[in-house]
Amino acid sequence: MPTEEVKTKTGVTWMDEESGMLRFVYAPGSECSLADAIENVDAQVKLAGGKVRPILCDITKCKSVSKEARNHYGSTRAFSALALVGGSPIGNIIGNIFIAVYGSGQVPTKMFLREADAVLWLKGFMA
Amino acid sequence: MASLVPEEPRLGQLLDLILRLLPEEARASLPTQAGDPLDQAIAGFTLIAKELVACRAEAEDSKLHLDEHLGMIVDLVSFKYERRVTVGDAGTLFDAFGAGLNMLAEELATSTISKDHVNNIIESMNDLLVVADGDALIRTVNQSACDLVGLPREELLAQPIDTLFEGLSAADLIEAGGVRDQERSCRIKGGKSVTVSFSAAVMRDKRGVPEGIVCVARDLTEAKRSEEERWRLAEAVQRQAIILEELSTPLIPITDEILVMPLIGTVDEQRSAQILDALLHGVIARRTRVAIIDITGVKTMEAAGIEGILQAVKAVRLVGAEVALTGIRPEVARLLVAQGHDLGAVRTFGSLQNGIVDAMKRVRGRASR
Repeated sequence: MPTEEVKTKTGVTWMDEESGMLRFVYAPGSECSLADAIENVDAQVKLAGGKVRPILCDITKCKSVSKEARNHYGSTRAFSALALVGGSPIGNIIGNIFIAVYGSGQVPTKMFLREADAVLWLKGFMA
Repeated sequence: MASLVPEEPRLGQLLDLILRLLPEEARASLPTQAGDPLDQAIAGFTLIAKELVACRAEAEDSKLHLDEHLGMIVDLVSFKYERRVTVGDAGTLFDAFGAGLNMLAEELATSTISKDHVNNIIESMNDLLVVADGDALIRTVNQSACDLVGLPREELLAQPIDTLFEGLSAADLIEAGGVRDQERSCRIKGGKSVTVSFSAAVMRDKRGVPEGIVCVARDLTEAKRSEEERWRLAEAVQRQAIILEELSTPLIPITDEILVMPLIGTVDEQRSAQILDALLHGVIARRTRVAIIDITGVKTMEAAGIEGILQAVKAVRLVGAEVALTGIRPEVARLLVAQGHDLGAVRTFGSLQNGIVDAMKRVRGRASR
């Protein structure tokens, strides 16, 4: 049940009022640079309304995320947890490498193949 | 199509073959049994040809991807991280694999340094680097170590580390947790040895278990030589200082009872102290009766210098000798008067010759009494 949707260069993000978590879906074939990552996180922080919320990020259709962009996502403290849904070979690779490098950071991060599993896991991080 | 019964048996065999080659979903697109068997065969072959062309194209594409990915893997293994592979928009497994390789290269580029780079650092070191494993056998040596020892790398590797550093116990070193700047003997070619400054650290695995020692040593031969040279120079300077001191306060015996100290140059506070010291020693040692301080050669005399000489005069008289001051130049005389020094008790003469004559008279006079 999206209330407000923000479209960025690489995808669309919204606040899922029903579950209380942020959502982001990469646009098909999107190639995410640092500027795109900053734009996405800024939009998500605004949508969160001053709260640190969990986020579900669907990377199924993403084509690439640059190293600098991954660094930005990996170092942000804007979210209480990050669930990556990668239902495609590329999404799977991007998600797994991101977790291998940044998964041991302060923000709990996990990779899922199914959105429902991701939502279930993120509910455990709802304040 | 399987129910088709061609009149020509060979045509039937051909159609059976076509059916076996075609994928199941393609079979439905063949003409029905009512059609001409030859038309059916042509349609079947057309489908098979299409399938073959697609397979060939896919195989070609796969080969290109594999070649590109293989090149990337070779680069990664060679610690070269600049290359990127093509990632298509189809999102195939090849695209996914390529995206993974690209990300791997990006991550490695920022978190790994190449073995070549590390080797370059090690080989560029002026100091000796020797790494030994848990059994104290040498596993790595750099060029500086080979150069100092005078042996090729192959002859040093796998040798016990104490063959290089005499008396080194790897176990003791691990127990101590390492050493720093310890002087040690390093064996070199021809049974000789050189002194080195030796430091070592214990190399541990992730669990903290010692797995070897890393030793760094610096040849002290040149440093020792420089130190010895410094010692020699210091000694020479000291010897020269003594000679200078002796020359600056010479004592000339005229007779057994008369001693002359001719002074030249400048008399300052430090030199007047030397004069006092030398004069007292000389007078006492020779049992001198008259000591003559000749200042003919003194160009300038500081107030502290005059004070010092007068102190010397008093001191010599205290040990029982008489003192005469000769060769007083006009400017020195003016200084003596201006500073109000009382020379009443000191015999003074304009020249050394007069002073000596007077001294001899006095000595003879004493002897005749």
